[in-house]
Formats: sequence, structure tokens, C-alpha cells
Amino acid sequence: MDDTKFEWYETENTERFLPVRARWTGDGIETEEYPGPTVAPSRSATDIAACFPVDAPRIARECGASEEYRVAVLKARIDAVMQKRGCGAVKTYFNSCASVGFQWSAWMRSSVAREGDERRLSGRTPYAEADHGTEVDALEALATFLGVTS
Amino acid sequence: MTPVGPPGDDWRCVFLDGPSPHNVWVRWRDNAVEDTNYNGHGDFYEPIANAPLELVRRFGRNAWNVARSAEAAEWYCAGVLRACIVGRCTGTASATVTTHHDPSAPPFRVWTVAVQCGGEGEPAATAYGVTELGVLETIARFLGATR
Repeated sequence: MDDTKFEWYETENTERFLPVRARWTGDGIETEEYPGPTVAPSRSATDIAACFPVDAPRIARECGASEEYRVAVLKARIDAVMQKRGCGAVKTYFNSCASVGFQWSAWMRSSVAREGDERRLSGRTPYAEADHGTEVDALEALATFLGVTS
Repeated sequence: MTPVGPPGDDWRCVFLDGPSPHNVWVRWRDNAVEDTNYNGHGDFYEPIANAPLELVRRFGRNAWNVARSAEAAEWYCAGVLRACIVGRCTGTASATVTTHHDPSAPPFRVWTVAVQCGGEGEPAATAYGVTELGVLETIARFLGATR
């Protein structure tokens, strides 16, 4: 990865959309929120994940990266590996009705689903889910479960 | 059951769950998986603890492909797939694989396979399909347990 070039990844949750940017310094990942709302992210999640090493989520955690950035890296890593298995994108949601400690869910199906296809696909394709107290913890659990991070 | 004659280090046991759970012994021979739940003379062997994990380590993650290409019986291929899934998912916690048949369900989802990693709140995966074997294969691919 070019250590002078910012790579982009966008992330979102149920409350807000948050573009972040990061770069590989050789010792770790530097990250910051993009200050302007007008410039669209230029790279796909797969591209970003391909730039980062396999253990990018662990490095991000050890570097004390923001939770939003760790979410972005985990999503990118999961999508990059699972797309090779023919799967769709990982998704997260917050369920305020769930038990405390399990309100964040990270999940994905094995098929690429368009908007509106979820109900049709729900009974046909493999489904995986991890529930935790935070979005990043749920994503980490799912990533480990799916074998995309070590 | 008392083993009659040692099975030898090259034999490993796979536990097959379901309506009639039982153990089956498998080994690698001539680039294929050879199986038996008895020694050919009516003598069963005792199972080995954690045998599915040992099987996966010994045979690798393509054990399923080997079994299928060797035209192994469906129930045996299902056992190997279960072993592959358990082996893949036990890196951080114990995994369980359960299958369920619901003849009243729509035809495309009469079989359900669920993989649970650990206890409550831990990751889980489910898949549906027409046959138990087909669903096991599908979820094994999804979880990266076969290639």
C-alpha cells in the first residue's frame, strides 16, 4: 500500500453516516474522520480491504483507532473475504428491544441480495449472526466465526 | 463396547448426530477416505475424544471433496462435513452442528442445519435446503470450512 496516500472507506450505522479515512504508516494505521461532507468516497470496501493486511482489524484495535474506524475496517475485511465465497455484504443493526449486552447485531447472508430481496432470500440462503453490546464487538465476533480474521 | 484389536493411529472417529446417532470410523488410504463403523467382523471400536478435530487436522479441509469424489455414502459425507465445520469453528470456542428435518416446511427448506459457536450470544449460522447433505455442504462453504 502507498504509505503516502489516503484510502477511503465509508461506514454507516443506524444513527449517522460517517466517512473515515486512513493510511498505512508502516507501523500502524492512522485514521481520521473526513472533515467535509461533499467529497464522495472513491474506493470500494473490497479495494480498501485488499490494501490492508489480513490482521488490519487487530492492528486498528491495538492502535486505539476510533470505534467508527474499526467498524469500517472490519466490514471491509469481512466483505473482501466473503465476496470470494459468493456472499453479500455484512450488515449491522441496533435493536433497542434486545437484551442489554446483545443489542448490536452483525449479520450476513451467503447471497448477494438487492434491496427488497431479503424476505425472498430469508428461507433459502445461509445466514450468520453475532450479537454483542457494541457494533465493533459484534463485527469482531462475526469475523472470527466466519474465519476472516485471526 | 470393548475394542477388539487396536484401530491403529490412522483411524479416526466421526460422530453422526440425528435420529439414530452413531460413530463411524474413517481413515486415509490410497488417496481416499475409507470408512467403517465396525472392523468387518462385527467388532466395534470405542470412539476417540475430539476425534472430529483430529480428523480435520489429519485430512485437511478438502476431506469433504475427497469423500464425495470417492463416491462415499451420503451419511458418511455428512459426517465428514460436520467434522470439517466443527474443526473450522472451534478456534475460539466449541461449536455444535445440529440438523433438523421438517416435512411440513416448503420443499426448498425441509432440512435445516444450525451451527452454534459457544453459548448464548455467540455467533450462529443457519442454512436451509432440500437435503441434509446439501445444506451441510452449503453452510460449510459459507463458513469457509471446505474449499
